Amino acid sequence: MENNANNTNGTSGNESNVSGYTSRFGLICILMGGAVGAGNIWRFPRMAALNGGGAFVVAMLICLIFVGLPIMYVEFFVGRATRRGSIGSFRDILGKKYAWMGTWGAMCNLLMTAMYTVATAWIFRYMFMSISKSYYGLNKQELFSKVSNHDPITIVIFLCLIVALYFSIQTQRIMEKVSEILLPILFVILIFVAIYAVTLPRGTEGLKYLYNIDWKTLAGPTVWLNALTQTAWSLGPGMLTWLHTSIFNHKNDDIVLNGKCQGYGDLTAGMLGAMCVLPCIFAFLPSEEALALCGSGNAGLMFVGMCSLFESMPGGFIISILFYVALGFAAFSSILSMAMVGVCNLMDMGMSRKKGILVICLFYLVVGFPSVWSLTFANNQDTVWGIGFVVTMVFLSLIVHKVGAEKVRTEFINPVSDIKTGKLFNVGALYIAPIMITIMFLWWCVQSVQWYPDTWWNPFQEASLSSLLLQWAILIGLCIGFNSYLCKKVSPSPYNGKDYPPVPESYIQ
Amino acid sequence: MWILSAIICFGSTIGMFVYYTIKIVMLERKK
Repeated sequence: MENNANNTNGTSGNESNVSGYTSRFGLICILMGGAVGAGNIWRFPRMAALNGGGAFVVAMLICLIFVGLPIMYVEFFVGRATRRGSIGSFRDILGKKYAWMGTWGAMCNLLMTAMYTVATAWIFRYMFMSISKSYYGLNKQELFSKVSNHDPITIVIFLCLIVALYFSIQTQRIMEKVSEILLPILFVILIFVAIYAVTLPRGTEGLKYLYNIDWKTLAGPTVWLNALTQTAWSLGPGMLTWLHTSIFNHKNDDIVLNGKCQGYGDLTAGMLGAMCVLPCIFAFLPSEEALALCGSGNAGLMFVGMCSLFESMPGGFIISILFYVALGFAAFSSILSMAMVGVCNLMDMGMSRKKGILVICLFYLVVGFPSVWSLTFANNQDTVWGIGFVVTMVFLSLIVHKVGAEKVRTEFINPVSDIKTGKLFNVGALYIAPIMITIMFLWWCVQSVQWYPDTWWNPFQEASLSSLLLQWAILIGLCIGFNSYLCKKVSPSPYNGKDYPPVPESYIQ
Repeated sequence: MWILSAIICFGSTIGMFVYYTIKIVMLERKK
């Protein structure tokens, strides 16, 4: 407890100065570790290549400023002001009948993380195959199909990841230490691989494609919608991870400066990821084939295309190992923070942290198992809950409407922040974010019809609109059905609408 | 031309990241 007696702003003092984090560096590593995930490396480069290169980066910067950061600040405010998980937060700020919104967000996060753990197992499987060179000479498409469909080794790795997760989040201090190790290694590897990739013969072709700003693409809606989706899936505003991370914050810990460092750090990691992937692809493939590979999906690029390239490129053996290690570390560091969403809500219901972690790990094991067994199921989980969670951003915006954007900004965010956020926050959190998110959500629904124009009405067709709607309806029904029960089960929060209460004793470990 | 774009895109993003990181380090040192 002695080490926790300082807040992460460095001041020390009485009981209210207790923080769940031992240092600001540790806090930022947890924040950035959570934000920088596999999406930075396997999705950002593809999206940038397919959406006008530099224009996509410009669109992402704008989405970060107007949507990503404001919603993230709201999450920081909510978690710290209520000192409760999402269910208790929504109940105590919006009212009992709205607590299901917090349950929805937490469930989407849990369901998505279960699948994400499986994807992380695929990554580590490829890392081991890189070490043993066992994918050399094989048909990469068939190999991925084998790895992602009830492959015994992948299942063992999946189990190992859950065990590793169990031990890595036992206390905030252990979580901090793990993040402090993983994040710097991840950045060093990314920088090293990026330098290698850029210096390949024709490697600059990829850079040209990445950074050449095609301004015309900014006039169309697709680049904006893809940039917004990337911001949501990569930085994770609305995933409620940051709400739960901030429960452990000291009441005077910074919000704006830490948030900006996290947001721009996430984007920087994405660009480094793109500088690793695109130069490799464009160095060895004609532009048309390179673009076709980018359009083949995350798995197609990472586990089929990149494998083939690693096999043939000079130094591919070392680079492939480093690449999959970086990808795996990025994914695992995100799971650490995401798992706390479930754990904190269980702690609010009276469980100890250890028991909560055990329950959540078992949940990932049971719910993730069908995904490790079948790629079709994994794809379904990815699409359904990946699109579903973005609605939580609109729910968070409702909190700002209820409390008042100006009050949130001037009384809760700015007083504790080393740099202040302006009225842009009000506009972003109140209007731009919910409107943009709603448009993005509808766009994804329309896309799901376009994917299956003949069978979109079939609820048993993977990723069809009716399948999405059915699964969301079932979850919303359950969230609303159990609303009263959960409201009673979660202990009352110390939220007073005036200032931040101290971190509850049960959260200090 | 693409080099200019790279400086604008990558430079501004990494520049902001480095700027805010340095700011945090300086503030921590002061405290």
